[in-house]
Amino acid sequence: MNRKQTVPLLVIAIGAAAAAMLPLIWAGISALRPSAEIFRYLSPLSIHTFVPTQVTFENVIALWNGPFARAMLNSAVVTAITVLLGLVICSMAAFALAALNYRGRGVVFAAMIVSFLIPFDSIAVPLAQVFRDLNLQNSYAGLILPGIGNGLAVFLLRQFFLGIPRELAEAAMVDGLGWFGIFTRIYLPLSKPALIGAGLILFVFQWQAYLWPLLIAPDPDYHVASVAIASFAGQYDVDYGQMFGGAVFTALLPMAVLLVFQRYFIASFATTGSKD
Amino acid sequence: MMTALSTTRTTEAASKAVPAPTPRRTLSEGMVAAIFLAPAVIAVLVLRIWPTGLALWQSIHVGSAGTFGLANYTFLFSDPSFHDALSATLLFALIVNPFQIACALGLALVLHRALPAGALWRTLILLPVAVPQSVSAIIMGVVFRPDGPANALLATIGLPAQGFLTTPDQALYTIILIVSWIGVGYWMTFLLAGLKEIPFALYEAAVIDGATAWQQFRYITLPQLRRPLTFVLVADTVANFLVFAPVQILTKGGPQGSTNLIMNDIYTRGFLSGDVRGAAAETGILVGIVVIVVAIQFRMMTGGKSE
Amino acid sequence: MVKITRRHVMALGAGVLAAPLISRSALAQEARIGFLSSQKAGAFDAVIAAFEKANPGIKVQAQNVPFDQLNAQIQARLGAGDTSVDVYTVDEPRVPAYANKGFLADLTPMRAEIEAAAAPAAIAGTSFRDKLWSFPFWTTSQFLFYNNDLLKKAGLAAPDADPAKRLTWEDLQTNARAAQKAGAKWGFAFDQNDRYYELQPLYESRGFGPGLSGDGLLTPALTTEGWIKTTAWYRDLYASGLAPRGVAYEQMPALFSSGQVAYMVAGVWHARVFRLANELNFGIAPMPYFAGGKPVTPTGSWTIGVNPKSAQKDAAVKFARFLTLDSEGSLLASTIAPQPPANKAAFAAYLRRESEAGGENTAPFAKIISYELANTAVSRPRTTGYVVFEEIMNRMYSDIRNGAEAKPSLERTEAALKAAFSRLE
Repeated sequence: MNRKQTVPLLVIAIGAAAAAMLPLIWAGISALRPSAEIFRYLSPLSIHTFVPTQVTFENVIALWNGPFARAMLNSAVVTAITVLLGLVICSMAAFALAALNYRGRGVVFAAMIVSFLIPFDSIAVPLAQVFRDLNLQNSYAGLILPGIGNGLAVFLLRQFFLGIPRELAEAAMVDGLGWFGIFTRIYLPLSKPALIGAGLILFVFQWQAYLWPLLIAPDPDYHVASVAIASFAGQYDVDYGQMFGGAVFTALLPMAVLLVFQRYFIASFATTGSKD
Repeated sequence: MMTALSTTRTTEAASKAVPAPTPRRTLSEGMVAAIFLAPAVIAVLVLRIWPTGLALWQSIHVGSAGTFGLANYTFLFSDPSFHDALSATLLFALIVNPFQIACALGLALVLHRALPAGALWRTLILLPVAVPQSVSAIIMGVVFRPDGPANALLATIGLPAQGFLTTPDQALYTIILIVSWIGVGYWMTFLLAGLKEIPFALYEAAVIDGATAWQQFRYITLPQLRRPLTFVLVADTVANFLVFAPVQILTKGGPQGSTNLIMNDIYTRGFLSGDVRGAAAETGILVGIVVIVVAIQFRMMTGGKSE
Repeated sequence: MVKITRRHVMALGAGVLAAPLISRSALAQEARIGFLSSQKAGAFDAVIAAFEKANPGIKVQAQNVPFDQLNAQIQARLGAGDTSVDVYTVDEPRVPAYANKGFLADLTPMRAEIEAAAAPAAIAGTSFRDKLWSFPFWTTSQFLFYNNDLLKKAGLAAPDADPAKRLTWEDLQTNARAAQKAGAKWGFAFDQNDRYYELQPLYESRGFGPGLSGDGLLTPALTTEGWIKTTAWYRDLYASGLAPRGVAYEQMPALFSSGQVAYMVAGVWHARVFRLANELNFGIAPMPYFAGGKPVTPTGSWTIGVNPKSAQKDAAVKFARFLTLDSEGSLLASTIAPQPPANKAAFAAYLRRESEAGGENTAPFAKIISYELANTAVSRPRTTGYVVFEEIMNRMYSDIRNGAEAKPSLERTEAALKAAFSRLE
């Protein structure tokens, strides 16, 4: 690629990144303002729309000294376990749906597809009733379980696995590898980008969850970040400083993780060969 | 580094595949599949399909006497708010899906190139999806307030102020912008992964044949992206059918029903008005619609093959 | 397909057994009760601490959700038999609907005790079909807040604090226009800009009724001439640019405290937030009325309900009592969310406390509240249909504020209400 192309493309990339980030930057800066000032300089655009007249760390300190710290930890634990367990479960299913031949494969695949067409919030109430009967209320298990079997992640992984030629598996069998070995030693190592994608799906489902944690984990010890942030909104008085501060911190943690994983996207897997 | 490793392993395995394969099988493939599928199938059955069954069961109950019938469904079709919801949802779906996929694909093509600090831009564009929607909706609500920064920006470049979420003819488009702000980076990430999979040699050959950039896109990139695109098309469509938090927080379906997307209608009916059976019936209808749309998309993208 | 089914069923069983069942059950010797409200986190910390100190062995868990989600939470959780909510705040006009659905424990046996402690108007608000369903907790009223600096700029006198000399809406509108001309970004605003609660008095002031009529107040009456006229007046406030469109209710106080609004009708609780805002020179006056009509102000606030399925009912009732019938507890509960307590003794102490804290800006605080509650307060309609009525009405006001015409909106809303009422069981 020549330099003539790089400049306009870079402008587009930076422009898109700025459009994505500006609202968050505004929120982050608002968290550093005294509360009376948060909505003062919205319009017309001025230097103070983005630069506080005075900087205060009151909101940030109150945020981390309050229940948010615990909730952030809960979110991190719940999401990490969900992503790990979910990847194991979903990749196994995707393997069975892509690499193995048996009657009824189409039916199972259809069930997986249908499962992510169902609006989870609509079924949360009856499901929460079942979870309460099983004594899963106020537990990590109660928070994690609905996130692990993700039809969308299965779908993504299966799409990817279909691109891995079956001859590879058959060759490995000649070498004495069983199906489990084929799965762990051929399919998984070849599928890092898809695994990261599936991890992203599992992550977003759990990180964004709000209604379900509210129903199943009302105990503040089990609050997740989204619930703790929402509780800054009182009927008579909303703590926008802490709310926006909390929102920015919930974005920063995944940003750090994502920057680490980004390098796998850079790696090119273009040489894996005979995709149809 | 990872590339090198997996490539070597691949070619090694492939080179040994020369003799006719006679796989050693202790378990039938069906049995193996059952073991691999079990955890996911159980999770999906217990945590999704079964509660949906419960909801559908509820939706055919009528009145406190517990008789059965379709009255909950016939009521819906006579309810103006459900009509609003259907038309708003269909209009929304027709615009938001092509818009988001086009933006996501465009950005993926840009970021696929080796740009300075490329990983940083990719991550930043993806970031809005990591903010709890309950707050990102509030932030975007402030941006689009009639006296907010969006109008201030328009004023700076000499354009008249817009009503955004307060006018029936702009509210739905503003919601589209807001959900796209959240979603485009997310879908872009999957397409980017797909682009990385396309063998570079294909482009090299095309360049030798004198193909233009458009021809390369049309005859190499698009066909090679078929699987990731199918995924993004289906998943994005489904996600957009289920959009709910921004609407509930910003417009509650208004003004004049113009943003009453079907999930908002279901939420209002079931949670706010307490009509649980009506909401269950509406959920049933929504799932039915999405199943049909997705089935059509699969047909289109795969030409009827089983993918 | 048959083959697979049989194999899968076996695998299914194995998987279910392997599912983790980690759950923390409540400690036996300690009663833990959940208290659900729509106040911000920490609003009840002081009263909970005092209660736990006085009642060792009972722990109270505050559960806070945003106001817009409280109703949804109650319907979703109590409706499904969730016992993790033992005590919760119930908006007064929702008592009949919740009682009807079995979400509230019958408190009639405690009537004598409640009547001794609480104001009579508040008790009426917690009664339905001759029974008592919740503890009267708070009452409320509205002020006309005004920004002295903006008024001075326009050469306007501060409105009289004497309820007998309150402004008419007609005069207020003229003054607000003048203030806007003199530099105020907005002349006037309702803080609860699209909520029936704050707008009902407009209709009642002219004698046009609450919008519901008939047996059990389940017949919408929105398309009368009076309703159309008054709704059009409300629409005009926004259409003419006097009041701001598109600002969320939660962001309205910030608009006033950052000096952008000349006059704002708002709940008395805002006095606390405004006096905490530096450099805000404001005053309070009674809510206006229509010339030729009578002064009417909104009232009715939160009450405390007990989940009839609570596993810790004794502890729950104890805590609810402390919040409402105990004058010390009742006063503590109104510090961060400063609503007037319905408890008579606490109410007097509350007026003293808030008047002293407010200083110059809110000097007539006690006088106006006492007058309004005794003379002009009108409750919202008590009906099993109120929950859905309120949801639908608020959406209508939102539409009208954004420019929808009054008459067709009222007609549409009347049809929507009829449909929704037909679904009540």
